[in-house]
Amino acid sequence: MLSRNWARVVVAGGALLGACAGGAPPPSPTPENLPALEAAQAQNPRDAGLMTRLGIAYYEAKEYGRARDVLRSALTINKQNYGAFIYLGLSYEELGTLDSARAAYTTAAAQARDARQRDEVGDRLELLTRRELRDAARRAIAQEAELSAQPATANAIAVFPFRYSGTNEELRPLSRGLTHLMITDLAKLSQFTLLERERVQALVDEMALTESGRTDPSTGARSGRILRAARVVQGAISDVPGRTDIRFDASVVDASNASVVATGTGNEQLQQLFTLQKQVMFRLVEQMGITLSPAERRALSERPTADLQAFLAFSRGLEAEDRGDYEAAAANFSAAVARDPNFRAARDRQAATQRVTQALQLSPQIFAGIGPRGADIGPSAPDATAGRGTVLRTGVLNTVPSVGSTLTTRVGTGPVSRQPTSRPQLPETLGGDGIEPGLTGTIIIIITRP
Amino acid sequence: MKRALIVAAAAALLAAPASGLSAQSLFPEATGVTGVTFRQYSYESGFGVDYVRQLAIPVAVAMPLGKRLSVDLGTWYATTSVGQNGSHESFSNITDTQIRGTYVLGNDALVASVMMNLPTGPETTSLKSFGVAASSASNFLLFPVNTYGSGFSVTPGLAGAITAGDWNLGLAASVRWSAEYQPFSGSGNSNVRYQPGVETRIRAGVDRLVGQGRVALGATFSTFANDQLTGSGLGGGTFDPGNRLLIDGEFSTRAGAGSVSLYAWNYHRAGSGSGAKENVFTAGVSGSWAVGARAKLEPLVEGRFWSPEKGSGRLVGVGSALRYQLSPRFALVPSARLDFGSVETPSSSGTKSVVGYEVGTLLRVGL
Repeated sequence: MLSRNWARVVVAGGALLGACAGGAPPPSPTPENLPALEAAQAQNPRDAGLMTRLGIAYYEAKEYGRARDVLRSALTINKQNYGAFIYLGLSYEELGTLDSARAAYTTAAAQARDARQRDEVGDRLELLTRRELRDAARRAIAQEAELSAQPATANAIAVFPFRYSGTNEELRPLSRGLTHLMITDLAKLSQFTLLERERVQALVDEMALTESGRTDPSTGARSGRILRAARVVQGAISDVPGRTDIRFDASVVDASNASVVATGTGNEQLQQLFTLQKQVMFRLVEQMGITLSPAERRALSERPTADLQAFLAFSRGLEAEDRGDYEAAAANFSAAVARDPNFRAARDRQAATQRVTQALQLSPQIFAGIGPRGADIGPSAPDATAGRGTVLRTGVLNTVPSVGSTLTTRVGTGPVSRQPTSRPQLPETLGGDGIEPGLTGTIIIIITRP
Repeated sequence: MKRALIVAAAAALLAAPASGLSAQSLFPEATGVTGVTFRQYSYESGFGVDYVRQLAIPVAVAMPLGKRLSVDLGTWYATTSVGQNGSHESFSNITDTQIRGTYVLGNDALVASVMMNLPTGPETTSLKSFGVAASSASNFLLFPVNTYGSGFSVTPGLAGAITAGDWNLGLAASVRWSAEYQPFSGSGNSNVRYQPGVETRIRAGVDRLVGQGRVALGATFSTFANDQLTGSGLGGGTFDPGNRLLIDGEFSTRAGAGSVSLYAWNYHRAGSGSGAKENVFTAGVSGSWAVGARAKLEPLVEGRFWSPEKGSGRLVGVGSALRYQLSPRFALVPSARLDFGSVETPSSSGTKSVVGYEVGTLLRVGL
């Protein structure tokens, strides 16, 4: 009996094309499809599936504005369209409206068909967060005069990257690592609200201050005002001439008037880096007039790791992350975790950068669930971008069934409800129903003469 | 019928491809399928047949030829065996080979198809072999291969679809023309000639999204010209196969991280002067859930009810497939299914229990 797969084919929805070929989703629209899609859409202005394909084709043609408009129209007709929301988010990203992109992805996450899609949307949101920080920094600089005139957020502190002024390139990443430590420590004090390291770093990068006079109180104060921070922590790490020690200088600057309200200085052997950081941090806290409770003192004394090499790898990871090299960042965080599995911050960063890396490596088609995926095992939910293709191809399967299409459909979509799609001609003519016992061994002839 | 054939062919030819339209061949990538399937039905004593079993090996290839045209080719090699009153008879052969070409016109607007049935199966067999082979030719049972050879035939068809509001509407039609052939060898039957009647098939279908799911309904109507049997030995005459109507419906929706489908279909074969009426109703639930990153479990529960002119049958089937992606190019789909129920025919002494099972695996290869 020829088998067919009505039930599963419909589940596959518009992916029926791909299902017939063994589970692959339908081909993604390309810019070459635009004339046809535009013509078809003009004839079927309410076909949400068609509009989605048109929007995807516009996106692929880098016509992001038109892609956004068409996809939004498609979503007003049918809001249950994961792929359309993904492409809408991607279009918004290209257009620089990141908040709208976030909204589109968040809606898509609610429509994800499985955990993998939800994870992929989460990865994209993680990546989007990095872009939002850069975007926010650019806008802040553009609005510097306006922001500087606004009152600072009470108790907000921004820790700027500590500049490394030594000659040992292997130690340069400590700039990021020590900044991370200082933020982590100060965040434990209820008196302060710490700005995210990435947010500050994004501003610093945008202001091209990385290796300039950031330790100048006036420069720090200016940056702090842009960030609406009340205070700024800044400083430098340097080699001690003729010795293996390193020196760590830090100060707290009042952003409103650029006055230095606290300073901390120390030098120790490199192996005592964490001790040095704690010394400087406690001095700053003390000079800011903060009396620590025993519990706070104990909390501030905690060290994330005792392994200097793990911390150096972690610092290299932060540096790579800041320059957008997420693969290198993930590798360095992994190295840090490998040396010290209890290094929690490294573990968290490792997971986060791996997610960003995955988001970057994911093609739009696969992200939207319409492209072939190496480990894809067929669609598991109705494809809202299917449009009329489903009913069309089901018609082909029912009226011109073939062994080849039946088999490829079956292997592409799973267990089937086999229907009698092909009449067993001569057995039916001669015997009837095929389970009649008399058919075996002895043919029962049922011939009606005219 | 000849006129219908001409109309369908003309429609396919006249619907010339519009330049610049989208490229959507029916098969976006070349795919090969093979595997093995074994199915057996065992009957309670007194039914007249102890068992019917079939081992079937499929071979199929589907591929795009350019952006709009695609072809698929498929055949089986099958061994069908029958146990009856302690004796065992079997028949092995390749089946007919079917080649189908499809051409997509416009943007999912029309699909023109032509399927040719090449008689690579045994057109000519002994009566005894024919009886064994025909034991799988049931609309109620689930043998992978229900007919070995049926002569050359060609089936052109045309399918179209439009969108109307939230609904997608489809209409398709085909005509199957079969050549006359000699079905039997052996003394007294070698002059028998069989000419299947022309089959005309029409299908209408609709579907739309409902919430996060999809509902689909369809009806396929088939009508036949009379079969002609001529020659000596078996006698001669005409056979009116009777019209067929298949109505199907399905609702599929998400269920957690997977999906669930509720489906039902009813196949009705109208009685005719020479053909017996028959009805098969089936309803079931199937699902699909990811098991790890590379596999999906796809269980199915199905009930099947058979109402021939005389007698009855019912089967409940439980089964599952596991779709495992070995690599981007290879996917393995092992499956198993158990059916149990009862059947009664005019020749059986009352209602007899029947147990069926199927195990198999299919391999998909990206070519």
